[in-house]
Amino acid sequence: MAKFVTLKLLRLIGVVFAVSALTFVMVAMLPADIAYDIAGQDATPAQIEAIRAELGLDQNVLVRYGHWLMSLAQGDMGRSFRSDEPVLDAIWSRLPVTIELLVLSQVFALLLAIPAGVYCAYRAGSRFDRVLGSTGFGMISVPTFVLAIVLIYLFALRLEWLPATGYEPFSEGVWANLRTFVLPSLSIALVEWVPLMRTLRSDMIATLKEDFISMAKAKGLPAWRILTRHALRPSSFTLITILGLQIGGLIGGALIIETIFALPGIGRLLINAIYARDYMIVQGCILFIAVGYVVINFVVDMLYVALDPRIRTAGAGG
Amino acid sequence: MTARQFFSGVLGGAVLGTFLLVCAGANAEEPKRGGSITVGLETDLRGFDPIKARVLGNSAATVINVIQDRLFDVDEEGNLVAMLATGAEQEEGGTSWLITLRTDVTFHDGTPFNADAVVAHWTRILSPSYVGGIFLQPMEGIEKVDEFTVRFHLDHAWGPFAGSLATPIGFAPYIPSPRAVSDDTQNRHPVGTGPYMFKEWRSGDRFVVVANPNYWGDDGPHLDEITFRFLPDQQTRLASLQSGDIDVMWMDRGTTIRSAQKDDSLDEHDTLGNGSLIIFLLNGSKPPLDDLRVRQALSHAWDQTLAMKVFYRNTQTEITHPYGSLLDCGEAGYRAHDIEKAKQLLADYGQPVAFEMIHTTTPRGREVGQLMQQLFKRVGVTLNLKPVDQLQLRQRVFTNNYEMSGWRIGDIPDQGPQLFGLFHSKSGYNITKYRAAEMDALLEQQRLLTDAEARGELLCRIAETINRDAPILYAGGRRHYAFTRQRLKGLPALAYGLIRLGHAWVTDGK
Repeated sequence: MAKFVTLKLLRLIGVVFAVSALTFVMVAMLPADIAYDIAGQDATPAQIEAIRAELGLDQNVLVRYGHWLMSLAQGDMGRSFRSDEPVLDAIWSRLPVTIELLVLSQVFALLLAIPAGVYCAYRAGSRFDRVLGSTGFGMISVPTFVLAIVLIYLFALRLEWLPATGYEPFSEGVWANLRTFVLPSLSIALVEWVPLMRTLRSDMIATLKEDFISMAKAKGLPAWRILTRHALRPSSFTLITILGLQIGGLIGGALIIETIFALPGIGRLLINAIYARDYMIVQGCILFIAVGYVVINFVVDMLYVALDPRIRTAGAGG
Repeated sequence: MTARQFFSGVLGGAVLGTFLLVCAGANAEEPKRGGSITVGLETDLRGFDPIKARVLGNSAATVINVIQDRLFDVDEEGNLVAMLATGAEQEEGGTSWLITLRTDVTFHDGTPFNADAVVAHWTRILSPSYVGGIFLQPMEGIEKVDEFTVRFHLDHAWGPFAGSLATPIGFAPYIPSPRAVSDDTQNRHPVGTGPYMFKEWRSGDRFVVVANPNYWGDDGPHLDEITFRFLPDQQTRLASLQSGDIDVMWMDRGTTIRSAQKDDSLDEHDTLGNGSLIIFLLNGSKPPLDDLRVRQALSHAWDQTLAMKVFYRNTQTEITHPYGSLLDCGEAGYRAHDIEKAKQLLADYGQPVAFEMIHTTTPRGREVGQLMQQLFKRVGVTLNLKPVDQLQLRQRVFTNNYEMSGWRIGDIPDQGPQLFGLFHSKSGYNITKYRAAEMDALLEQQRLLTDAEARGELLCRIAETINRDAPILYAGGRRHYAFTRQRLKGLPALAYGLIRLGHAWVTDGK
C-alpha cells in the first residue's frame, strides 16, 4: 500500500511539473501580453513597454518560468498582475464555490443516475428502459447553457422560487447557500447523469448474468436486495471512473455555468486570467487543477481497492 | 475666460449642478433613510490605487464614485459642481490655478482632508508611473500653498484643466486617503471621503460598502449598505434584475435594452453622452488608406444608419462629431452614405482597393466586420476580415500593425485632450498615423484657449477636419442606459455613463 501511495505521489509531482511547464510556454506563445490589458486603450506604446519591463515580461520565458518555480518552492505563488491579489488568496476564496458546485452537481447526477440505471438494467428492454434511454440521449444533446437559461426562466423568473444568479457563502446560512447552488448544480447534473446512468445500466446487465446473482435468486432473496446489495457494487467500477473524470473536468471546466450564474469559481478565474494573459493566476489555477485531477484519480483508485477485494488481495500479494 | 468668470461659473455650476445631480432623477418624494440595494456590475474590479490598478473601468468608476470624492463634479452639460474644492482661481494667464479646499472633511480612516492629501495624490498622478497621465500632459506639478489651498502649475494655459479635475471617468480626480496609500492598503481596501465606506471585497463575487456616518455633504448617504455584485453575462444580469436579485444594472446591448424596456416593473434611465462607442481607425500610414480619396470613399460607403439598426436596434444615436450633448456642431461636414460619391472617389484613385480589418472575436466584433465587408463590397472594395482577441487587437494597433480596426472615443467632459492624442502628428497616442499641419494647428489652439465659446468653435472646426480627411469612421455616439427596480430612487442622469449612487434611496427605507 505504501508503495502504491508513493508511486501515486511521484506521479503527481511529475504531472504537476509537466503541466505547469507546458502551460507557461503555451500562454507565453499567445500573441500580446498582459501589459496591453493593464494599460487599457489610453496608453502610449512607450508606457506599455515600461509596464512590460516592470512586470518582467521582457525576459525570456524560461527565465520567467524559473523565477516562478523558485518562488513556488518557497511557498509563494505570486500576485495577480492585474489586481495585485495574492494568487493563493484568489484561488482559496473561489475554492469553496468550485467544490460545492462539483459535489452538489454530482450528487444530483448520482441521485438521478443510480435508481434509473439500476431499474433500467433490471427491466432491460422494457418500455420504461426505452423511454428513459431516449430521454437521456435528448438531455445529453442539450448544451448546459441552454438548460441553465431554461431553469432560470422557469424557477427564478416565473415561479420565483430560486435566485437567478449569485452566491451566498455558508456563513450566511445553509439554506441561503444551498438555494444559490440548486439551479447551477441541476444545469450540470441534468446533462451528466446520462452517461452515468447508461454506464451503470450496461455494467449491471452484465453483472445480473453472473453466477452469484443466480445463486442469490435461488436463495429466494428479494429483487431489491439482489440489485442493491449484490449487483450494484460490482457494477460501479466504470461509474466511479466516469464520475472521477467528470469531477476532474468540473474543477476548472464549469466556466459557462459559473459565468451564467455569476458563481465566483475557479473556472471563471482561470478564463479571465487567460484572456488577460495574467500568467500568475493562470499558473496558480493550472497547478491547482492538475493537483485536483491527480488527487481525484488517486481517490478513485482507492475506491477500487475498497470496492473490489481482489485488488486488495493482489496488492497485498504484490 | 477670466478667473472671476470661471470662479462664478464654478459656484453657479455648483448651485445648478447640485440641483441637477441631486434632484434630476428623483421625484417629489422625500428621500427615506435606511435599507440596502444590490448593483449588478459587468466586471470584477482591479483595485483602487491608481499606480497599481492603472485603469478605472466603468464598473470600478461606479464603485469609487461612492467611496472617494473629487475636487469638482461635472454634470452632463459640462457644468462644474464644487465637491472637495470651494473655489478655483486662474493665475498668470492660465499657467497656474489656485484651488481652495473644504476645511470640514475627514477621510474614513480619520485622516484629515487638506492640501497635503491633494498634493500627495496629484504628485503620484503626474508621475510617469501613472498610465492615465497621457491626457494630463500640460500639468507640470502641484504645490501646497497653505493648509487648505493648493496651486497647480501648467506648461501653458490649458482649456480642459477644470474638466480634468472633475471627470468621473479615470483615477486622477478621485482623492484617496494619504495614509491608506502610504500603508499600501488603498488598492484592496479603498479609503476616501465619500458617502460610503469600504466594508468587504470578495474577489469575483461582490464588493460591499456601508454608509459613512461622518459624511461632509448634506444629502446622503440614505442607504445603510450597497452591495456591488459581479455578473458578467448581460442576459442573466437582466434576469437577476427582473427577479429582484439586483436593483440596478447598466447595459449597452440593443437586444437587452429592448427587452428591459418591455418590462413594466423596471424604470429606465438614459442619458446622451459624448464620444463614440465604436469608431473605425483608418491607418493613414498604410496604403491604400494613406490616400485621402480612398478614406473619403470609405466614409461614403459606410452607412451609420444601417449600423445603428443592426448593432444597437436603434438604441444608439448617429453622430457627425464626437462632442455629443456637450457641443452642437451641426453636420460638421459629415460624409453621409452615398455609393455614387464613393465610386467616383475610387475611380479618381484609379487602382483596386483591398485591405484588412482586424476585429474582436466577440459576436459584436464579427457583426461589425461582416457589415463593413458587405458595405465596402458594394463600391468595389475588398475588405479582408481578421478576427483577433481584444489584447491582440490592442497590440496590433499600438504597434502600427493594422490597416483598419475598431476602437472607441471615451465619454469625458472635455474631448480636447483625447482628440489631441488621436490626431496630433507629434502625439505618442496618434494611433491613426494621421498627419496634417492644419489639424495640428487647430489642436494646439484649442489647448491654449480657455474661453468656452471660442474653444467650442475651434472644436467644431476640428470635427469638420476629421470628417473631411476621414482618419476615422463613426459607428454611433453614446447613449447610456441603466434600468432599476422601482423601489430605487434618487438616481441622477447617467452623465459620462456613470451610475451615481451617492444620493440613492429606497422607497421601503424608514
